[in-house]
Amino acid sequence: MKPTELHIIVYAGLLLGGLLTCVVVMVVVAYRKKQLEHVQEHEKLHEQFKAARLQSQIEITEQALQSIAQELHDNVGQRLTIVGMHLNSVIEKGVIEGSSMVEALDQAQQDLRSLSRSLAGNYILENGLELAVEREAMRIGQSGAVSCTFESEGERHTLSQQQEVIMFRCFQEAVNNALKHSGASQIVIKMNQGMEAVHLEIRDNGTGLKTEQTRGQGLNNMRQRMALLNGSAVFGPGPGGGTRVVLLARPEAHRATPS
Amino acid sequence: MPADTWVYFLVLLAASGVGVARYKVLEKPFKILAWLVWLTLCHEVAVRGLSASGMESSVLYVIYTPVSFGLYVWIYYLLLNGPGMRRLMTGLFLLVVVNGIGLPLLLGGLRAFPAMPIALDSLVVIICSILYFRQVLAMVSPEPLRNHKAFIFNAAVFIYWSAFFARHGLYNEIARSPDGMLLAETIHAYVSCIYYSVLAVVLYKKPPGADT
Repeated sequence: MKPTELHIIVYAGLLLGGLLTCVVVMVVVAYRKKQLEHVQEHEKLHEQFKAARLQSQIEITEQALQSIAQELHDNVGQRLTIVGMHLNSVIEKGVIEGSSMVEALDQAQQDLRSLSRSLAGNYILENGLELAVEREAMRIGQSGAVSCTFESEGERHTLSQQQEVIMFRCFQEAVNNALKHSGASQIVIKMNQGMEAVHLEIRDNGTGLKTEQTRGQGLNNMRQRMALLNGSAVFGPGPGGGTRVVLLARPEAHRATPS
Repeated sequence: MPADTWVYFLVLLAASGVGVARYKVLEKPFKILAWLVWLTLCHEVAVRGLSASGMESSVLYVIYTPVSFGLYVWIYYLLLNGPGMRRLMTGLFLLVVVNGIGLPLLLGGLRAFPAMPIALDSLVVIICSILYFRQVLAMVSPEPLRNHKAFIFNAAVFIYWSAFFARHGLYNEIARSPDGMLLAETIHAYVSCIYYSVLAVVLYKKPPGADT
């Protein structure tokens, strides 16, 4: 065997070794690509599962609120009406002097009706989000605990009924948080409706959010629920102190399609 | 004995030592791999011993070839799964054993080096390793491939035996020249050093997710 033949064999061997190594590297690359695809698919399924679970939670909550509202209206409301009728007949007979009691009872009935409406999802569906938010602001203002104002601008939006209910529930939670935790004396609600999105801003003049509160379960739930509407819930300090919550929802037609 | 052969023996000895030390915790395919490494060490010592004493060592290859390739196919019998795979592996096992014993007797008797049977048996092992690559690509595990002992073993087998398929296929050409044989032996020693080092790592590595 000549030296040149030996060289050829050595070079051929090296080439063969390189080719074989390339095959192994290609297998590794293909495997990693497949692994990545699998992870992405798994994450997507997980997100879908989370969204479906949240959706069913919302539906269950909505059903529970609906039945409470029905019970308040049909049962407790009827009983108060009967009590009112008896009270009127007692007053008419001159047994007692009770005009203040009648006023208090009327007020209780009004509050009950208002609370029943606020809880019932049907009321939101029948009257639309804007009117439901306005009524809720009025109910809070009438309670006397805080002053509550409502402003609205823009064209009527095109959110679906389900979107309206979810957004209204998030709005209620934001207002309840302000009432319970902020110690605010004033709540300002602003609604801005555009073709592409509906903004609902809830601002108070209370103590403001602490950092750990912004990571709490309640606010996270709101974020997740608004994410279901392809929207968002943003919590932060207000311009003059207090807390500012901005809820944003996009109509179905303007939902961003995943790339 | 040249220095590269000494290094080769040291690596083989180290791999055998790792096999002894880790034998109890090894899974079944790697227990067979440990047996294979021990067998190779014994075979190499015997071959060098016979050569040193001027005796013919080819007969040892006629015994070693079917046994070692039979062990390789047995490892793949345990590693590969899927419809018909067990039957295929049993068939390949019988093929390498019959080829390793029968072909040398038919071609050149016990005194000739069984280059062609080794080349054919290497081809069977290469086919097994390709089937394993196919299986790896069909499955998905969150663990990176570097943690899969079986994959490392398979990659080493694929490269080593592909190279040796080529070498033993060209054995008659290379054997005509003393220079060619020397070169082939030197390359064999270096490549085998790398191969048995990888097998030592495979024997040493813990399976994915194991604490001990």
